[in-house]
Amino acid sequence: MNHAAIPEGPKPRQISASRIAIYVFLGLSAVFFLLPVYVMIITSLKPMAEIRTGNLFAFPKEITLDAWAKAWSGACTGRVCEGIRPGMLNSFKIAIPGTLFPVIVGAINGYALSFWRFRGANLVFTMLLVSTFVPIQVFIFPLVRMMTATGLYGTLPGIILIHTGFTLPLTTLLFRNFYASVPEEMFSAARIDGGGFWSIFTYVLLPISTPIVIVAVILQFTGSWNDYLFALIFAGRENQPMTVLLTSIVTSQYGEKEYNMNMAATMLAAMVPLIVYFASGRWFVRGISDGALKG
Amino acid sequence: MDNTLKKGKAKGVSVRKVRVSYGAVHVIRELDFEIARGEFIVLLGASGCGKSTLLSVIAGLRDVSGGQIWIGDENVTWHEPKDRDIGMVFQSYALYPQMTVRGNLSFGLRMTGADKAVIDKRVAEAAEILQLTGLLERKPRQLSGGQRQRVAIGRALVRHAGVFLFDEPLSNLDAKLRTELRGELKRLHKQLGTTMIFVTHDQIEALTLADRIAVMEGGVIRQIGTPKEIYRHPQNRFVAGFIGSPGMNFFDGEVQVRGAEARFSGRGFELALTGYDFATGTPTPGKAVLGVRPEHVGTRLTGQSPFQASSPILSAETMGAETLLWARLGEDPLSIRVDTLQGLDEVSRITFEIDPALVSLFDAQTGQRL
Repeated sequence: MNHAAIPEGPKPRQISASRIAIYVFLGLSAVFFLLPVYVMIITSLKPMAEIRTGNLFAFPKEITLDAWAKAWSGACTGRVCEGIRPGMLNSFKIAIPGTLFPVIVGAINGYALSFWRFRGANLVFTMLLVSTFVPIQVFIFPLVRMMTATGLYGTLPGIILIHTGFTLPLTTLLFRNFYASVPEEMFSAARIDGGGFWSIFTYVLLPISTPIVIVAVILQFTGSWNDYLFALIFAGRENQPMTVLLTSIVTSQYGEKEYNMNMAATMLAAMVPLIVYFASGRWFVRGISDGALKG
Repeated sequence: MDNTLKKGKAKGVSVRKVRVSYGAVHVIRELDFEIARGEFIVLLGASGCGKSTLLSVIAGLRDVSGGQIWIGDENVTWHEPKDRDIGMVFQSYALYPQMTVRGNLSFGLRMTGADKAVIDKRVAEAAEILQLTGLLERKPRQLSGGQRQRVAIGRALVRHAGVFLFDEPLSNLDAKLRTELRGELKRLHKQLGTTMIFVTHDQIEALTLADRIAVMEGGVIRQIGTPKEIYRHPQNRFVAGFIGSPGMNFFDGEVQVRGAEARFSGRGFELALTGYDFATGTPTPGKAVLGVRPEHVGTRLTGQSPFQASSPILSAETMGAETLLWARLGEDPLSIRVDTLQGLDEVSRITFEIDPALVSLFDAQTGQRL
């Protein structure tokens, strides 16, 4: 018998052609981005003999972690053969202060720019905005001279200062835009309640800034961890982070290219940002998408 | 109750020649008025009339371009908001979202470094007055709109301020809650006797709450007076049209004086102005506007009124207890407010009276009351 559907209750979901197209597109995009990762992982687990057979996509017949061990502590960068390990500590030494300083100072700047409208606040804001568009390469040579003159060239404080300076406009903008969505009345209420510049910031605004702090920390941390150019130029031999060591390992080899070891070294260098992303991805998306406050 | 919360603490406010302008835009032009200790004053006006600006100037959240603000016997023009001895309640509640109700209430006192014992006592006291005692450990997002606004009021209360400022505090609430909280505010004012300055665009709020209303337009006060004065004797056509809902009927015409007798001659009708209280004492002839409130058109005929007319009923709008009838006076439309139970919405013709003592007359040019 033919039951003509009487519209009642929830409307039945239908799979339309456009839905299918979207899923196919998403699936293909995922494959496109995941394939290189897959190749990296399986290559790093293969012995060289197997890599030489040339089948790039084949699953390893024999899984070995030798390449990882060598990349971690045995690979040679020039004359030293300590692997990528010493770079890890350096990367942390650069990335942690390189995250904290810009985030803290940026938060204070953004707060001051949004709420304490001093004379010329708009000019400062415009200058910050413009400065983010200037290609950073322009600054390198003058900065090298300035850092040399102040004795900061090739030191840890030097590279941290460079990171702080270059990313401060970005963190300031992030926080300013976040605070622009905080109702002005809340700030007014806090002023009437007797809050000053610092107490309003600490007690009223910081507690509601969690989403943007997380976004800023992730951006800053991965940004300074992944930085190669500044670290290569300004960090000096003592403080080379993983990114710089990785390049040395990959480029300065004699004889046969050890693809498995290179892949493993790359994975090791990318490990920390990856963990950060996986651990905080949910927060990251939330922080970016709800700029507005929900009471 | 702690007696510091009682009348003794209330302070008067004096606004002296205050101007606020942004470049060429004058938000407030030379305002001058006094608010007595313990008075409940309402600043009433449409949006953009400068009422909220005036409030934030009194609060010190905005600088004046000229003039002085006095609170109590102190010139506070250059004082920070926290040093003005004020409490303020905002339309959006402006609670601190990450603090509990207790945290919100005590924040101001904690900022001034008050004793923990004093803080606890005042928070408990405010919570009791506002029926928030059971909600002290909740976060604002777990509260309803009405509760949030009570917390906002409590935040002003615990500071034992001399003057309370309210910036459209009821506008975000639904109609029922608004009426409820309006009653609570009135009761609170009676109980505490503090000076309250209340900004709103809602005339019902203004008429029910205020000791005095200041009707504002374009950065100036058009009239300041008790709700009754404002309603009965609007000083100008703006105030007459603004106050009262449904609004006053206006008729263009002319005042004619013959000997001791004055008449208003409109389009197709003449009204003897016997018993009309002229603002200047004596009637002056000239072009004028007659204002008649819909509720002042008499439909239960007394036979004693000097003016009686009849008109077909063009339409009727029933608003529950009352009905608004649309008829004509001469050639102009006239709205009449009647009791729905009179059943006048079912008749086709109506005879009505107008008592000249209840009408308003305005100069056609200046709009000032005659």
